[in-house]
Amino acid sequence: MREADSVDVTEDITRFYQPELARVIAKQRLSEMMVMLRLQRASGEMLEHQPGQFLQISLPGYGEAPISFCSSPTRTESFELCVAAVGNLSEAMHELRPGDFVGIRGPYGKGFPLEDLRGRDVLCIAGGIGLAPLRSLINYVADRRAEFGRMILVYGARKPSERLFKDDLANWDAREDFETLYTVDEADEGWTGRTGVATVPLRDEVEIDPTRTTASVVGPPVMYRYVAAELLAKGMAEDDILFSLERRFKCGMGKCGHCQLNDLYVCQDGPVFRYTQLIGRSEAIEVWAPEDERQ
Amino acid sequence: MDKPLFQAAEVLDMAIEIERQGLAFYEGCAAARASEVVATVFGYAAGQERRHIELFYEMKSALDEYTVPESYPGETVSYLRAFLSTRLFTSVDDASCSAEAIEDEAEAIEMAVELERSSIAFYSGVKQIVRESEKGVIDDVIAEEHVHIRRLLELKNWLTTRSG
Repeated sequence: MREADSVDVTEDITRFYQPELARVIAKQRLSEMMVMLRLQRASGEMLEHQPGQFLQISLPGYGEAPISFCSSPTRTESFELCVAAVGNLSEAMHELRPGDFVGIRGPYGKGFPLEDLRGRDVLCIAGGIGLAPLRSLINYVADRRAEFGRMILVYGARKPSERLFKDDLANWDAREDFETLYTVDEADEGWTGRTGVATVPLRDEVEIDPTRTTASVVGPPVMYRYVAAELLAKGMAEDDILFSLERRFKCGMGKCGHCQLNDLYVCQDGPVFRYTQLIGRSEAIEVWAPEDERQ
Repeated sequence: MDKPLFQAAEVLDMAIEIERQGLAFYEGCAAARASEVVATVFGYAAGQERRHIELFYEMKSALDEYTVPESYPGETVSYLRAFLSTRLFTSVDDASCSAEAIEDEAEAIEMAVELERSSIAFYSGVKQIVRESEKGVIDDVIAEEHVHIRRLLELKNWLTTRSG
C-alpha cells in the first residue's frame, strides 16, 4: 500500500487541500520572464523545506501551481520561489508587491537526498530555469561547506540576458571552494565566456572521481538525455545521477494521479529521482507540460 | 516499450550526419589518390556509406511524427552538435578538407579505420536505444562497417608488402 493510500478515510482530508497564507516580503526581477518572490508564512513559523521540494502556490481567481523552492532551508527567515511568466496565474504573480498575500500548500515531494550527498563531491548541472531549484541545493552546500566535498556547478543558459541569479553566479564564481563553469548557447556582443550548451564544458572541462561524485541535474527535458550520456561516459554509476522531473503537479500528495509516471507519483516519489529509478519507465525524461495545461 | 535515451529521429539524424561525413571523406580520398586499388576500395566504401544514408532516411520516414519538446527553438540541435563534436570530423566540409589534406595513402587508410571504429562505437550505442524491430538494421550497418575496416586493413597490408 502506498503512503498516500494509508490516510484514515474517516478523517477530514480536505484540510490537506486548504492553503495557508504567506506574505510577499520582496520581489526581484531576474530576467524578462522570471521574477523571484521572497515569502514568509503569515503564522511566522518556519517552513522547513528541503532543496528540490516544491510548494503549491495559489491566487484567488487564478488558480494554483507548483513551484520549486530556490532558497536554501539554511536561510530560515523566509523562503524564495522563482516564477516564470507562462500563463495567467504566473503573470498575476509577477504583479504581486511586498505586503500582498498568496496561498501556499506544502512543501511536497522528495528533494535532493542531503544525507547521501554529505561527504561526497557535489556536481550540479543546470540548464535554463533549472538553476532555480538547484540554487536551493547550491546555497545549502555553501552554508554547510565543510560537510561536502568538491562543489562543481555547470550552468548553461540560452542567452546572457536569460541567465538567472546573476549575483549568486558571481558570488559562487568568486569562491575558491566552488568550481563554476558557465556557458550560453547564443552569445551577444558583451559575452566573453563560454559558448555552447552545458554538455560541452561538462564533457571537456569537468574532471571527476566518479566513485565519490553525485550529479544533480535540473533543466529542460532534452538536456537530460545528453547529460546522462556524458556522465555515464565519465564512469558515473546510474544510481549517482539525480534528475528532477517537471510535471504538472495538482494535488501534490499522490492522490489525483495527474503527475503519474507509470507506477510512480512524481509529486510524492519525486520530483528528484535517481536515474536508476527512471530507466525502463516510459516518458521518464520526456516530461513537458503541454501549452494548454500551463497556467 | 521502454523509452530510449534519445528519440529515434534524433539518433537517425546523427547517423545520417556521420554517414555523410564518411561519404565526403571517402569520395575526397578516392578522387585524390593515384593508386587505382586504393581508389577502388575507397569508392566501394563511399558507395556503402551512400546506401546507409538512404537506409537511415527510410527508417526516419517510417517513424511516427514526433516533435521534440524544446525550451527554445534549436535547443535539440545545439545538444546534438555538441554530442557529435567529439568525432573525428565535425562536419561534412571538415571531412572533405581532411581528405584533401592527407599526404599519403597509408595516412588516409588509418584515418578511415578510425572513422569506421568510431562509427561502430556509435552504432553499438544506437542499437541499445532504438526499437526492437530496428535493431537488425543497425546490426547490418555495424557488420558492413566491420567489413570496411577489414578491407581497409587488407589494403594497408597490401600497400606495406608492395613497398617493402
